[in-house]
Amino acid sequence: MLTPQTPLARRFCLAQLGVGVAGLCGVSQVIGAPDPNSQTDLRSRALPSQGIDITLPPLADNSNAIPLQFMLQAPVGLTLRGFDIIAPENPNRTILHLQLGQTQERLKFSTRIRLAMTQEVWVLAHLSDGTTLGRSAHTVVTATACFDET
Amino acid sequence: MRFRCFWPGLSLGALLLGAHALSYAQTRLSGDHFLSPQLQAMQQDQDVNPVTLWVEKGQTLWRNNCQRCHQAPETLSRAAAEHPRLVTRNNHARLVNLEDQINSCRQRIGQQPKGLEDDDTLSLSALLHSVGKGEKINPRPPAESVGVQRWQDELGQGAALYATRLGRLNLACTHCHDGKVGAQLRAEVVSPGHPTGFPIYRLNWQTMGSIDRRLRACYSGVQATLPAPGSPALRQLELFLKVRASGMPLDGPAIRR
Amino acid sequence: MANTLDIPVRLSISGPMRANAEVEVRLLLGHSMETGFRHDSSGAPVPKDILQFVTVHMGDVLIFEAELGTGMAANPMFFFSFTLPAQAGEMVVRWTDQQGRNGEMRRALLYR
Repeated sequence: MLTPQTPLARRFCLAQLGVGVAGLCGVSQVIGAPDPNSQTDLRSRALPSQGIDITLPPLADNSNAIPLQFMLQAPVGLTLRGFDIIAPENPNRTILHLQLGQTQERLKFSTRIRLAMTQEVWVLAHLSDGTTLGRSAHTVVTATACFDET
Repeated sequence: MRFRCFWPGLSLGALLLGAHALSYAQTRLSGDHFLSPQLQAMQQDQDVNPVTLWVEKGQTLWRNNCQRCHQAPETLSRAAAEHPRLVTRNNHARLVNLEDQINSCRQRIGQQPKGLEDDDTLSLSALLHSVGKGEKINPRPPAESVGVQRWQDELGQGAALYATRLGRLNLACTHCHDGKVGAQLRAEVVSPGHPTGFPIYRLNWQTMGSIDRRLRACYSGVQATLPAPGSPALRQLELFLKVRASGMPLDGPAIRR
Repeated sequence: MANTLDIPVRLSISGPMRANAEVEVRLLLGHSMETGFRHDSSGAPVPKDILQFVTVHMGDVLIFEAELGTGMAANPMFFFSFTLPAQAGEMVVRWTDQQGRNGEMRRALLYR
């Protein structure tokens, strides 16, 4: 490790350090930029959750077919436009994007989803005034015990 | 009685494995008991259960191909419970399971055989196991005495395989499926491994599969070299497992993890 | 013909079959929904092959259109609440896979 022996060398080292720190700040700026539909992004949007009820097993016994059921109720005076099911830790985050053809205030929906790992699953409901409701449910995903190469 | 040799042979087999394998009532549980409540619910509702898609396809295939000889599928309600069978053709005897027999029937009506895991094969197997739901598993030796001896040999080989250490994990089937029933293996509970729910919709596969595939997966589980699909070893194991499960009712095609 | 995709479909309706009744439509589509993330036993990746779009109409009226991701389970299931229209009609389910192949299933709904 080179120690700065002369004032010039010390200044050079300090300048190098400064560049390094500035570089790190630059990197953290990039990291701080919104990552759409990540867990941080979804949490930071602080979406109102009133009107969404999610049923998701807290412990999923397989990662391939996890039952997800939810009820959507639009606030008074508004109707539902559609919804998104999002899994922030999946390689492709949007599981389902659905648009309703008719005006409806209420919807009950069930499906089965695949999750790459333990995470919060989000249901985002889009309303007729352009706003969005959002709620999440957490599930712990377990895998089968033995490796199956068939 | 023709099957004089059968019961002493089986008792010897039981002694070899440890009599507990065949006598404790609590080890006579179907795989259904080891499913989580969610999976049991999935299984009970036909609209939710993906198995329904295969059974319905089986019904269509049956109407278009099998009905001409067999009439309604219910006439073969015992078929699933009584396979594998020892079949002799051209002086050559071999153990044949239900999926093999479906292929045999295809050839009989001039069609090409398909894979054991082919969608059509599994659909027909699912249909026959579905009409066989509730039937007691009862594989039996053939009528003629030459066949009986061969059948017992095959059964003996299956029993021996069941007790043979395999793979990098150096485990035999009996170590877990007799010795550790009810124990936790990571997030799963060890079952006795009775073949009551085939063909299965295995969530791990995300599709239906036959007992042949599931037994190959067992080899994979102990990190052993997989036998090829249709190998005699797999038929022998299947025969042994079904004799071991004799008297247990078929579940119909089931969901498994 | 090369552009058609036939898949097994199970469609059932749970609830009273009469005008303006709220029912549950239960749709199960047979498709492997191969994600492209799996590998076969030789280590080669299994190519992605999924249904991309599913629409449900009642006659000419759109009930919903959905875009599916790889996070939908194999043999995808869509159970949804629905208010039956005044006139009994035909429910049409259409699907398109990522290669643009289409299929459809029609079911005439009969009111009691």
